[in-house]
Amino acid sequence: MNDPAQMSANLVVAGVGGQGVVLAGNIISEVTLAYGLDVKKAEVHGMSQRGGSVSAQVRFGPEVHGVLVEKGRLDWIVAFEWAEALRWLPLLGSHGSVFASTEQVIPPVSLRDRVEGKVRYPLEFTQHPRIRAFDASGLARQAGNVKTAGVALLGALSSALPFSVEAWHQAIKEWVPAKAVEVNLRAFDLGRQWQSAPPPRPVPVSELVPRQVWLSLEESWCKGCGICVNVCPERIWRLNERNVVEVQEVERCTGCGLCEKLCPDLAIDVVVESASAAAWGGAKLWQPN
Amino acid sequence: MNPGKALLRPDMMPHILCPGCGHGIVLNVLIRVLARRYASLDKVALVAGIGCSSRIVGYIDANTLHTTHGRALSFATGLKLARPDMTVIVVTGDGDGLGIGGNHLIHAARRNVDLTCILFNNETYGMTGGQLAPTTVTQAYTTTSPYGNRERAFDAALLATAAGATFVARGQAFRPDLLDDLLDQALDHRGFSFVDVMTDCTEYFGRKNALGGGSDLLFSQSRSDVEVTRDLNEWPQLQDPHGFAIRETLAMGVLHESDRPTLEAVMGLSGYRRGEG
Repeated sequence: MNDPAQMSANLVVAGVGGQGVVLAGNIISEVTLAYGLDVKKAEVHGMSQRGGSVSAQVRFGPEVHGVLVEKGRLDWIVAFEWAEALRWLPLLGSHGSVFASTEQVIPPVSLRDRVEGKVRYPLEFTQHPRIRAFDASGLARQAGNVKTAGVALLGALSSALPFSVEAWHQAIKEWVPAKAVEVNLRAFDLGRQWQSAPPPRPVPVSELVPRQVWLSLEESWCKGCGICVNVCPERIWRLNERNVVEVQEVERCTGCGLCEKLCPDLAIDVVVESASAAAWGGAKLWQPN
Repeated sequence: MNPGKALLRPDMMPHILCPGCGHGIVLNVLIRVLARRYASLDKVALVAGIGCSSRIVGYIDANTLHTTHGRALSFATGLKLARPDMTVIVVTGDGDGLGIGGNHLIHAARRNVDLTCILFNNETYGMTGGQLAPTTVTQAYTTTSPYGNRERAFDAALLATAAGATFVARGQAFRPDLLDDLLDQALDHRGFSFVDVMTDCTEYFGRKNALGGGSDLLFSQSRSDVEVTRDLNEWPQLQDPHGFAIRETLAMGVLHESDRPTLEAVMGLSGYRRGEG
């Protein structure tokens, strides 16, 4: 790998539409071409209207025959959006690694709560030892334009490749619009200077005890004081237009019972299906009448 | 779920307490404790005087006495001497038990009758319109202290200890688990046990002193684990409008415990046993 003219590698740039994935693939290809390497590049941008998944596979070396990367032969993933990197992990080779932006672009269908924008994203992904995730958008903003986040990621990638900074700069100058060259070069340099912090050790997650929580509300007793609304750590209660509480997203209830214990109107029942609940004679909901 | 809900009189619910009233939380805890301790409430009597706090006995399907203002402890003393086999719990408020019935409190403590007295301390007379109570802290505004209270407040726990109560504790509505434990210990205790429960009055005390309603007033109790923090300077959102630091800090938990013969034992009443009901 030390001789850039003899190097061969497979990499993929992954992101969503509008982030400059194809452009980044072009820049990488341009750099390798400058070293006289053979390059093959394949892009998937059929869904690239803003928000769709886009990828560019780049294979380079003294001689490259096919355009697509085989499973287990991928050396680098450059992900402009961190969940997009997940799609490519099955192709990653045993020595491959990932440069990922911590940027989250949430497609509307994965929102659990469209009002508050809550999502369930695979957080443990960034704790993988071979993933170098950093705030590329932050670096890009520092450089002067958030749109240069992709180039900042290329800067980080460049520190792992044997090609010279000048070659990268030259390729960037060739591909980005003339008026954006300065800011892109700044972003590239910031990305190149970025040093990955030692990856955090994955936290062992104890196996979840399966349990079932039922919430019961006696609406006619609720006076709408709002204590449960404010005390719930998961914020699952809210006051409706009749000034009576109602549950939103009951599946987030952990069964802590704070609302039940602090309800002055005795309107809330939290039933946790477990051995202790069975000791009280089963988990039947109590009926007031 | 709260197994104590089976002890409620469903036809009486929902109760009359205002939205966010801490008394409801104490009721919530009390029925939980009762359901855990007693298989049947046939040998349990709840005696109450007059006031918001005293109303709550009406919601519990036990033997209940709703008595005259301030005299709950006198009725309870009589009941206990007549029926020493019963567990007698007195539910009273600060106005009821310390103001109008202050004398009855000190004498019940002095006699060491085997009662459990739960005093709901909301620092005002809530039911009658938010008048000044003996527990109203200095500088606080009430309907009868429109320029701020100039008097010093009672420390109910200190008073009961000095009068001879053999078990004295203080809890608060905001910490139902602590209160649960204190009520349990108080019911275990043989002799006069006194629990001062800091609750709140959202409609009168909270409103007059701009302390916020419902949950704000309740959460103002949340500053400390070992003390009832009553210093408003630690709670900037709940500042007194005139800038007075109107609250002081009171200790929480079991404050006094001693052993001394009960009145029933001294009188040699037959049928008297430790009040497990």
